[in-house]
This record gives sequence, C-alpha cells and structure tokens, in this order.
Amino acid sequence: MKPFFAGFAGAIALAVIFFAGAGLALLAGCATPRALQTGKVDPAMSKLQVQAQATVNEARRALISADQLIGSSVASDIWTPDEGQKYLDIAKDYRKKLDATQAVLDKGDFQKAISEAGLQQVLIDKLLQEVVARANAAKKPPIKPVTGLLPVLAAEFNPEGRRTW
Amino acid sequence: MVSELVLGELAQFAVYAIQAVKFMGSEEAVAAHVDQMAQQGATMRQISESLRDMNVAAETDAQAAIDAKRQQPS
Repeated sequence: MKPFFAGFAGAIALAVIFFAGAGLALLAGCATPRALQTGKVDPAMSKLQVQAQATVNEARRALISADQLIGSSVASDIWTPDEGQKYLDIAKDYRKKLDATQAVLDKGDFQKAISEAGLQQVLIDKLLQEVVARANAAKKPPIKPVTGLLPVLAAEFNPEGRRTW
Repeated sequence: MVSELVLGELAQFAVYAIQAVKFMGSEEAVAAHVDQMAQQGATMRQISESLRDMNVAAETDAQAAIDAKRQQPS
C-alpha cells in the first residue's frame, strides 16, 4: 500500500507542478515587457535622435533576454550545445549590427540610424520569439530511467497478472 | 518504479518552470537596472552603453554555458 500512496501523492504533486509550469510558460509567452525608461534626455537632442536611441536600447534588451534564454536552455539540457550555438551566433551578429547602428547614431545620421534600428528591433524580436518557441517545442526530452507509463505499469504486475500494490 | 517516473516528470517540469521564471526575470531585471540608472540621473547614452555591456556579458555567459556542456562527457 505504501508505494501506492507515494505514487498517488506524487501524481498530485505532478499535476500541481504541471499547471504551475504551464501557467508560467503562458505568462512568459504573453507578457509584454514594460517600456524602458529613457534616462536624462539632453534638450539639444532631436526627437529623431531620442527615438533612434530608444529603439536601439529596446533592441538591446530583447537581445540580452535571447542570450540568457539560449544559455540557460543549453545548461538545462533543453537544447544541445549545437542548437544553442546556432542561435547564439545569430544573436552575436545582431549585436554587432546594433553596435554599427549606434556608431551611425553617434555620427549624427539620425534618419539612417532610426531606420536601421527599427529593422534590427524587428529582427531581434523575431529571433527572441523563435528562441522561445524552440525552447517550448523541445519540452519533451526522454525521461532517462523509464521510457513510458505502460512498461512501468506492466512491471508493477506480477507474472500471474495480480496487482502488487 | 511509478515513483521514479513521477519524480522524473516532476524534475523535468520544475526545469521548465524555472526557465519561464528566468525568462520573465531577465526582461524585468534589465528594466529595473535601467530604472535605477535613470533615477541616478544617467543620460540616455550612458544607459545605452550599460545595456551594451550587459549584452556582451549575456553573450559571454551563454557561450560559456555552451562550451561547458560540450566538455561534459555524454
């Protein structure tokens, strides 16, 4: 009887964790991050300059999240190192492009900077969505010691076919 | 054996829940960092520089996690 109760309690705990996990995953997928504060804006800065800098900053935030998710997905064995490396290389490339856009902005070509930053933000948001979607899709790794419920249940029956618990 | 299965599933779901929390936390952590800088009177350009540093640090950490996993015996 003891293993039966342990299994029953485990199943309840599993259900609790499942719904909590599903809820958190849903929140992570749906939550829109609040806009970043701009900080002290020099009155000499034009509207375009402020807009371009704000777009670069938002893109950098999305990129930081993507990097962190890639690293933790590999560390938690949700992804293989090769899968993680593929996405990290794309993220590194986007970071270099953002650095180039920042240089354009610093040189005073605000119009060009805002158009580049806008495009990069779209691409980075798309990368982030893909990284989240890939992490969600990879949520069914094999459970190592046991490969399914049926073999387990079968093993719980003795050769005469009577339940042992 | 049923208990082993349940424990395995529990551990796996715990990993996913932690991932979801980490993801939400990273977005909020960046916003909180920017809030703090703004309160201290940082300029927009200084905030951008700091975000770039965080970008590079996150990249380095992710690369380290990948490299560490590669070195682990399978």
